[in-house]
Amino acid sequence: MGLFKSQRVKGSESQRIRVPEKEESRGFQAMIIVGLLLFVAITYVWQRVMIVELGYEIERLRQERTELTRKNAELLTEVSSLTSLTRIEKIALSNLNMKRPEKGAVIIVRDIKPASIMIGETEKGSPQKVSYLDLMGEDKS
Amino acid sequence: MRFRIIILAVLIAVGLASGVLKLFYLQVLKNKEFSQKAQRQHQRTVALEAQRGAIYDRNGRVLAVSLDVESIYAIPPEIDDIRETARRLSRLLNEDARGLERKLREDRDFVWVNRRLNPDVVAKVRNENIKGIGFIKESRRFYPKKELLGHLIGFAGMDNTGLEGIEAKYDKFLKGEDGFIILEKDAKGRYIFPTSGYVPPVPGRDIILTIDEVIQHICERELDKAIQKTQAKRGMIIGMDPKTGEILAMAIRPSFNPNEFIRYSPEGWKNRIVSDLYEPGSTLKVIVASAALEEKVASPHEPMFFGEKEIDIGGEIIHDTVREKGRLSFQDVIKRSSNVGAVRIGMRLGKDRLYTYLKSFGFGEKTNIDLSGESKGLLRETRNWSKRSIGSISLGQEIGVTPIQLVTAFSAIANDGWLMKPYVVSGVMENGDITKKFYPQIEKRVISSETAAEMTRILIKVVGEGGTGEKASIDGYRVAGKTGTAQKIDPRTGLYSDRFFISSFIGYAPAEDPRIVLLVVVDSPKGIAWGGSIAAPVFKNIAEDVLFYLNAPSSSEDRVFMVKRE
Repeated sequence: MGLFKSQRVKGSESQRIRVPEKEESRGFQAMIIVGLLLFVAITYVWQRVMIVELGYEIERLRQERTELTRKNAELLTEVSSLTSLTRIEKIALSNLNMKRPEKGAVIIVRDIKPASIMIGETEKGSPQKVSYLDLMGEDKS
Repeated sequence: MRFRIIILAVLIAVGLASGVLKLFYLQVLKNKEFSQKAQRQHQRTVALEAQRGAIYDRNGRVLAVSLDVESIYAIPPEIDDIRETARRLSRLLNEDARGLERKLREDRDFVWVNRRLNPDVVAKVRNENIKGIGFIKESRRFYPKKELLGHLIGFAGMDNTGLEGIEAKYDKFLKGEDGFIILEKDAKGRYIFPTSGYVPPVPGRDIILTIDEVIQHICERELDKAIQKTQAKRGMIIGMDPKTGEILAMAIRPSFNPNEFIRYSPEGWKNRIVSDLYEPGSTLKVIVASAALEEKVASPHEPMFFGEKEIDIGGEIIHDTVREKGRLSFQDVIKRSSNVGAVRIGMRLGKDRLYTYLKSFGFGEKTNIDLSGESKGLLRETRNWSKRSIGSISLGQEIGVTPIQLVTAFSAIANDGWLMKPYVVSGVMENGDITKKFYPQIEKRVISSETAAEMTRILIKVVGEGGTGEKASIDGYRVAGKTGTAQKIDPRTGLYSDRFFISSFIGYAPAEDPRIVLLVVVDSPKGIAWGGSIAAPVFKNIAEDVLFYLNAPSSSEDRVFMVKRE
């Protein structure tokens, strides 16, 4: 391929002028540059638009979070207030006619797990703990 | 023609030049000022108040929490008719119209009308759409349990700073750090989250107390009943886990509701359990007896009382309330709370050893509990003691103690002789995770394990048949305790009063494996004032419910049903 190529010019059918290939290439390059610049510009604008849109979204979500936190604290306060033991006790005794257990109705026993402890010995055979009767000294007799 | 063209050109040039000059003036000379004006129009800086941390009891029940509520402000220059506005606000807020008008007439651009209001009230004012009146969200502290634990929790003020109690002592954890945000407004008035200019607030951390709400409720309920029944002036109850030093309950009457702290006098905010001194009376005999046993200057069965009605110390007479013709042993002196016997025990010890043991048990010094306003009590050095002092102190007079000191000292006996440091905060929580934990701290051993066991055995007798604390006994449990009835000083005469007493009872249960040490103090009850009659039954009622709540196994072996597990 040579440096020049022939091209037909409008209005002079028989006349041919020679356009340098380098010049054509420059025009193409210019178009690419303009295209790239446009692309960068559009990307920049698009980015800005996206940032602004995300800004709206973040602000909306921030306010939503603040509102939910507030609501949560409000509900927590309400739960805490409603579970006040003074209130529950009052409702139980006056509205629901509940009664305290009679004396001796409930006896809490030690949680004795292995059978060996029930007879006062550990697995090793020695007393697990000094009996309180030992502490009672003279009363023991 | 040419002249006209020149004139026109000159005019155009002058016009352009003036335009350029104006631009120079606006863009260069006044750039800063106008930029700021423009920014003010489309930017808004919003302070972001940090959410104050919550306060929980040991089981995670909420005791204090912050909520966003609205406050009302006014911009006086924007109000057309100040009198009418004040009148309307007065009707809606139920406030004095003249006071409001005075506020609105102040030469200011911004005034608070009322802060942290009920949402219903704010809604009413908003519906009226009053010109020059605006609304702003602020954080307000709520104490959903109202009076419960009011004195211990304290309160936070308008600016979200803790002013009393736990709120003040742990303010640095609870407060958090405020932030800010610079919001930009678009043409439609919508705010855009900024790409810069945002400093998020750091929320305060939560505090977990050692207090158990259930035990606290039981104590407050029983204290209320006792105050009502005896028409006493004041009352205090403190519950402590003797093995750890954790405070389980702290009840004080008259009550105090931190939601309305402004309605109380500063005197009403005080946590008297750590700040107020009183003469402990006979409850101190336990400490004196422990010291005597530890020093082996007396033995439990040794006679210490020989039927006297009084004893002479350095020319001063100390009377006894015990009317017994025969002898009383050391342990019976404690059981019957004999003054003569206690003085004799004190004298056996001598003033130096008595002083050393009282100091060792923590009297005359702060317990260093994590609460503000603690008093160190009053224990004079021996060089300032009179001849009578050794006798008086052995009876719990001439010494000022705080309830926290007494309960801490008594806990050492319940805890095998080890003195623990009392504390009310067990941890700090951040985003639901515990980031700081406070552990039990042993202060020192004050008496030997044997002495502690011996004292427990004697104190069980106090609550047994014929003891002064019989009314504190609980079916199915062994209770160890001591009564106290102290005469108050009459401020008019400066002498001990015959009318005003402090009735108290201090004890622990189950005696063989104490789950709680309780001190009940009833100040100036009307009528009978014996600690055994006034305070001991209160102890019994509380301990009964608390032991049931804590699933403490019964002490009586014959009442325990053994269930064999396969």
